[in-house]
Amino acid sequence: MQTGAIISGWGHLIVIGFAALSGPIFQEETENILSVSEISVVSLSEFDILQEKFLTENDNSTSLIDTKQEEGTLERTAEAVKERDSSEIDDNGPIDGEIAATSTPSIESPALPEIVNSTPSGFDTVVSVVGEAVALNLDVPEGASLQSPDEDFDVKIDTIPFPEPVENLEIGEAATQMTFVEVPALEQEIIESEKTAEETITQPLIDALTAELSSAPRLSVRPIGRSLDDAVIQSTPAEEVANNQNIVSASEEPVQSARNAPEGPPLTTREKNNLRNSVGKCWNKNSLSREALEVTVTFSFNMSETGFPERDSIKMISSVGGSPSAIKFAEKAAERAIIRCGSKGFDLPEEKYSQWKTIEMVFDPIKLRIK
Amino acid sequence: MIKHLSIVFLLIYFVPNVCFSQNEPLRIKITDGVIEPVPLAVPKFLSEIIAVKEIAKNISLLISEDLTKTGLFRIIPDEAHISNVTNFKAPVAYADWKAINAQGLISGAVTIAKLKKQLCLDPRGCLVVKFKLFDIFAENNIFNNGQKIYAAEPGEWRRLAHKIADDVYFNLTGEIGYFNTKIAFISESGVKNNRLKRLAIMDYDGANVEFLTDQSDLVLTPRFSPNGSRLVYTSFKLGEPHVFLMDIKTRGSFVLDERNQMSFSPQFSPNGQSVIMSVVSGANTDLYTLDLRSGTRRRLTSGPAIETSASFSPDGSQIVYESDRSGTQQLYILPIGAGEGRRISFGGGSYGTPVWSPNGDLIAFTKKSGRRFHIGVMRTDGSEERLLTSSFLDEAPTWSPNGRVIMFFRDKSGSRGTSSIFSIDISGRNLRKIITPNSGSDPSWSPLMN
Repeated sequence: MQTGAIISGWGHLIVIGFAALSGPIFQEETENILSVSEISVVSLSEFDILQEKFLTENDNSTSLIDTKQEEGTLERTAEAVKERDSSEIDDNGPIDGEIAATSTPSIESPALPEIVNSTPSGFDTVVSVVGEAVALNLDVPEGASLQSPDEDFDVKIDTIPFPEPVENLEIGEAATQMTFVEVPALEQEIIESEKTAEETITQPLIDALTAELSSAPRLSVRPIGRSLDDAVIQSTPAEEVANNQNIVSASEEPVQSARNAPEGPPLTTREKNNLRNSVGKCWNKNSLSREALEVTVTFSFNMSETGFPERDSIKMISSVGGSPSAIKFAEKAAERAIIRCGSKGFDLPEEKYSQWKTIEMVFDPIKLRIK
Repeated sequence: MIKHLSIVFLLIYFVPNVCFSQNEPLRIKITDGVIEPVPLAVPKFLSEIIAVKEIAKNISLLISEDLTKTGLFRIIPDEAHISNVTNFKAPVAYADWKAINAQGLISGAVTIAKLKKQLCLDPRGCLVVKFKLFDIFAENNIFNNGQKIYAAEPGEWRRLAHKIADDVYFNLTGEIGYFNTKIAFISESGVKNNRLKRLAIMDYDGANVEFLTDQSDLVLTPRFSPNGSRLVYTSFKLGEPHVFLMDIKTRGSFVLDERNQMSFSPQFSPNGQSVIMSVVSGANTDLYTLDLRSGTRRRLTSGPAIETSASFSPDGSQIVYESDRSGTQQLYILPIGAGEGRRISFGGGSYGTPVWSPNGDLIAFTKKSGRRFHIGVMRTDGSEERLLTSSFLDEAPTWSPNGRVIMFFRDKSGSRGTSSIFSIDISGRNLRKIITPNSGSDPSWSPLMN
C-alpha cells in the first residue's frame, strides 16, 4: 500500500516536474515560437536613444509616435504601396508577356543575310587583310574623348573634334565636316528632328522614374504572400522603431544586440527548401566557364525583417577551388542570384526572423561540372 | 534518486534551449541552379556621323548574333526595351533594364576618325567603335576604365564587331572568346567520287570566304600555326602527298620536306618552331617532327603500324596520335623523346583524328562504332569518354581557342551527299551548321586573331 502510494507520488512528481520545468515540451510549437524578446530586450533607455536618433534623422518619424497619426500614415503608406504595386504590375505585365513570347533563343543562327553579306553603305568593298593588326584596344577612361587617348598609346587623333550625337548643333556641324558621303541638309534636319523626338519620348520616362524614386515608400514592399496589413497590426512600437532604424541606416550595426541570438525553433526542412529553390532559380550557371564551375563560393548576408537581403551586407566569405579569375566569375553569378531573386523578397516565416536574420549560402555547382 | 531525476529534468529543459540559442547564421547549400541563356540588351549602336549609320546598326546586330550563337546568351529584342540609348555618355537607367530582366547592357557608338599614326589605309580614316558593358543588377560598368575603343579599316566592321563580342564574352564568362577567329577548311565541289578540293579560309561564322589555292591539286588537312599567320597542309601538287607550308598573307607556299618520301597529316608544335607529320617509309608510316629553322627531321615512332594524325599537348611535352598496331585504329599518348606510346582508348570500335584541347584536359576524337561515326571527348588518360554527335560520317574535330566548342565536318550518305561543317558545344548542346559556299570539310580553327 505504502509502496503503491510512493510510486504514485513519484509518478505525480515526475509529471508535475515536467509540466513545471519543461513547459515548452507540452505546449504547441506556435506558443514556443512567440518571440517576446523584442520588448524585453530593448530597454527604455535604448528605446529613448533609438527614438531620439530616429527623430533627428527622420522628420516624418513623429508619425510613428502619435498612434492615431501613425495608423493613418501607415494605412496611407500601405495603400500607396498597394497602388504602386498594382500600377507596376499593370505596367510591366504586357512587357513581360512580350518578352516571354519572344525570349526563346533560336537554335538556328538568326537570319541576317542583309547584314552578313551586304556591303555597308557609304564605303567601298574592302577585302579583309587577314592578320593585319590594325585594330586597337585602348582602355580609355570613361568620359575621355578620342582626342586624348591613353598616354601610353602613341596614337593621336587629328584636331577634328570627336563628334557628339547629332542633337548638339556645334558637334553636328563637325560631324557634317567629317561625313565623307554628302548629306543633304534636309536629311540632316530629319535626323535631328528624329533625335529630338527620341529625347521627348525618353525625358518623360526619366521624369517618371525620378518621381517614382522620390515618392518611393520608406517601408520596403513585402514579399508576395505576406500581408502588409498583418505586419502593421502585429508590430509593436519597439519593432517599428527597430524597423525604421533599419530603413534609415540599413548598413549600421543594429543596436539590438541581444536579438542577434536566434531564438525559437529552427526553420523546417520545407522552409529551407523554399529558400533554396528561391535563390536557385536565379543562379544561372550557363555562362560560367568550365573552371568557374569547379568553384564553390559561400556568401553571407543579412536579411531585413520584411524578407529582403540587405544589399550592402552581401559578401563572399569563402571559396574553394579555381583560379582568382574563376572565383570572380563564380562570385558574380552567386551574388547576382541573391540580388535578383532577393529583389522580390524571400518567403520566410516572420515569427522565425531571428533564425534567418543572417544567412550563409553555399553555392556548389557540383551537378553541372563538365567532366 | 531525486538528484538523478533533477539532472534529467535539467538536461531535458536546457539542452534544446542551448541548441536554439547558438548564435549561428542559417546555412543553406545550393547545388541546383538553372541553365538558361543570360538575357542581354544590345541597343543599336549610335552613329556619330551619318555615313556610318548602317555600319553602326550592323555592328550591334553582329555582336548580338555572335553572342546568341554561343547558346549562353539571348538578346532581348529592341521592341521590348523601355529605355532608348540616345547618348553614349548618358547615365544608364538601370531600373528600365531590370524591368525587362536584362542582366547585361552593351552600348556603343561608331564614327570615322583620322588617327595621327596612319593605321588605316582608307583615306577617309579609321572606323572607330567605342562601347561600354554594364552589369545591370550590380549597377556598374564592367570595364575598369568605363569604355573600350577599337579602330580598324572601314571595311573591317565585321572584325570589329567580333572583337567586341569577344570582349563581352570574356567579361561575362571568364573565358576568352572565339568570334574573331578564322577557319581553314577544304572547299569541295563536284560529285562525291571526283571532288575538286581547294584550300580556303573564312571567318568562324562562315563569312568572308577566301580561296587560297585553285582546284588543280588535291589538298587535305590544313592546320593553323599558333599565331594564325601560316598554314600547313597536305597537297598532291607533286603527284604524291607532301606537306606544304603557306604564308596566308602573301599566299606563298612551299613543300616542307624535300626528301622523296610521302608525308601527310601535319600539325604545328605549340611554339610554332616545328611541325609533326606522318612520313611513309616503305610499307611503314611513322611520326616525325621537322624543325622549321634547321630542317632537321626527328623520328618519334618506329613500329610497323600506321601512325598518324598526331596532335601536341598545349605544353608541347606529349603527343596524342592514332595507330593500328593493336589491329584497329586506337589512340595513343607519347611523351616527346621518351618511351613507347601508351594506349588510352579502349571502348568498342575504332578511334582516330585525336586533337588535344587548348586547356590540356581533354582530347577530342572521331569514333567509328558499328555503322555510325561520332565526335567525342575523353580525358587524357582515356577516362570519361563522352560522345557528342552521331551520324553517317562525322570526322575531323578541331577546338575553339577557349576549348568550349568543337568544329567538325559531316558527310551525307549517297553519291550526291555533300559535306558540311558543324560546331557543337562540348556539353553536347548547341549543334550548328556553318554555311559555306560549297561543301566543306577538314576544318581547322585558328587562334584568337588581332
